[in-house]
Amino acid sequence: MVFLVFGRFACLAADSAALPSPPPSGSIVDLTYTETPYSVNNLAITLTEQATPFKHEPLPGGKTIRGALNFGAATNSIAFFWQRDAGKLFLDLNQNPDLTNDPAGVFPNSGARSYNYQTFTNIPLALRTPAGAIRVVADLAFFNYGPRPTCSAALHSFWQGRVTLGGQDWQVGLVPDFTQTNFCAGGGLLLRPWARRDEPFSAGGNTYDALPFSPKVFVAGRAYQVRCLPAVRGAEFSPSLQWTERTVPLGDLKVTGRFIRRLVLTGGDSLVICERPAEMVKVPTGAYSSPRVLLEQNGAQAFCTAAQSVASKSILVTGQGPAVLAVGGPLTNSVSTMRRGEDLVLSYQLLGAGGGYQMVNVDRSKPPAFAVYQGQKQIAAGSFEFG
Amino acid sequence: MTAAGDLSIVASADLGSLGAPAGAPVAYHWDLPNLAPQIFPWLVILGLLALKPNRNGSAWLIWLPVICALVLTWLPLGLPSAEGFLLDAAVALAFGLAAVWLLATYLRRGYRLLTALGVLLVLGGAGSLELLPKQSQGLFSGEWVVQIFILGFGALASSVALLLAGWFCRRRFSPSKLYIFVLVSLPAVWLALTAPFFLAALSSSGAPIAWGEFLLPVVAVTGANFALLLPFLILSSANSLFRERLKLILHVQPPAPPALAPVARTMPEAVLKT
Repeated sequence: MVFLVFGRFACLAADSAALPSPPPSGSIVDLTYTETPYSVNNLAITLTEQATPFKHEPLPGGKTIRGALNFGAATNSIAFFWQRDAGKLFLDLNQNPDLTNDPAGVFPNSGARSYNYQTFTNIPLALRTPAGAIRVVADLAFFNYGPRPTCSAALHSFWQGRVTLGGQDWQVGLVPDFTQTNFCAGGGLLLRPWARRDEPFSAGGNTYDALPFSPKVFVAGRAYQVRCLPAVRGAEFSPSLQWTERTVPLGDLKVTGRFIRRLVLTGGDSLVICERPAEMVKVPTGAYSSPRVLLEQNGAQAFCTAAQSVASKSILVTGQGPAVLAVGGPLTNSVSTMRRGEDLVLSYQLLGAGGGYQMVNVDRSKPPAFAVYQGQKQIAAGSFEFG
Repeated sequence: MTAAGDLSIVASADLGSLGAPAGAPVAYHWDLPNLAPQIFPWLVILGLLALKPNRNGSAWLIWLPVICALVLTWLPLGLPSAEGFLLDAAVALAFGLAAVWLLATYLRRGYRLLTALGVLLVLGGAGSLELLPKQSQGLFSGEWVVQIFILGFGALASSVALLLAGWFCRRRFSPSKLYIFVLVSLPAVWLALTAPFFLAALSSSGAPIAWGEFLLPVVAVTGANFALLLPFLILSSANSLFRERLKLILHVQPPAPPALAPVARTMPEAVLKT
């Protein structure tokens, strides 16, 4: 009951905060280039293989694969020469169709010695975009399974800044995705409390710190129009994000579960981000689907596996009455059973409000256990196997 | 599981502050499995023991290598529980081998290859009879296809290895010589059977040959196959009935003793004394 009263109070506060007419021009946050020791995004890179040798290329040492890596736009093709048996990658970083005169473009395989999978780390890439030249740092992984080699890039750089939204400081960032046509707005939008700025994150990760870029964002109880303003300062690509508050009709959303650190709603007018939502929150009216939920309590984190969750149903938020979203904790260890002939197959399940969950950090040395009882007597026990 | 009735199953894991370690009990009613599929292969062996050539006390020793195979599958082999169904294929091969030994007098043909073909068919057929009644997910389920695939390859490898060993031992048969030739033939046959798949995978990937990735699984399946065959070979060494059966399968002696030449009866000359 206490929670209900508090939640209603929070609703009213959010409601009154969203109603005033927004300023005509929003705050502009300049983003600075940042490199990270961890990967912030993983992208599949189109690889065009060619059989004919380059005019100037290193001597082939064993099996070699040559061609071009296509980082999005056609202008961003970089010639490569992969000496697979030698575990060495030559990149035409200076873009002068000569793979022999670029000492900074030679990279040794830094992964395990394997002919089918090699990784080359800390590769500085200069890419051209309609907004100007940008630089990124990436690890490139080459795979040689199947009839054609493939490549993926793990990005280790992004652009970040600090913005005050709803009276709270937030870390905002752009995570590049050069496979998209609109480089600036086609990538990921990092948005999380400034206090958590040093925690690793990943676009597409299960902590939902970085989400697909949306020009309309509802965060900290307020709606914003977000514009990406690409700019070049000196020789450096330096994007900015313009945050313009806007007015949207709001409705009540009742969240039944506990321990929710982040609730993300998509499918409506705005990308809705609720950080530590109360039991009752105000969100823009509309129909939302597949909510993404991260639970956290005293360091333990779990995320909702929405695909197998009843929460994947559409949620309709109107101005009339509160919509109910059954997600959150507490979580319960459970098991599903299936008979297979003379065997009883047990599958571990982690259940919470709305369906299945999964712990973010799983200690594989301590798998979940089970015990089978007949009456009060334990007749079998064991551990679940991962897989 | 031998217990039956109402069970409750409790899962537990450390959830930190997100929940209690022990979950709520999940109720499940477990009925003992139908015994018919379990005993069917044993009944098949019993049926074969009723055949005229097997109406002999020694023939009942065929249970020993079958039980050996069952015990082998109970050993902690490190297989994930989800892969345990693979062991059913090994047991099926053991039942197939038992059927071959019990039907050896019928399998012997004039040509070595025809006998080997008969061995292959009985191995595969009797092994399938062991697998079929256990299918809880219906025919052509993924597990069943894998089991049949393994049984088929095991039957082919075993019959070809016995064929080759018999050919090598055709002039002079001894158990130790046979063991060695089976041990040499089996990996050769498994290499020949699996090499096309490995080479096809290599040609599609263009990767250089990783011998370890190829040879280790071959060594493993060869070892398993030999472990299944060995109890039957030992039985054949120890028991005269099964030694004769093995010789029939291997073609190391003619199916019937050669016809004896008419012995000239030399009558003592009578000396007629007058």
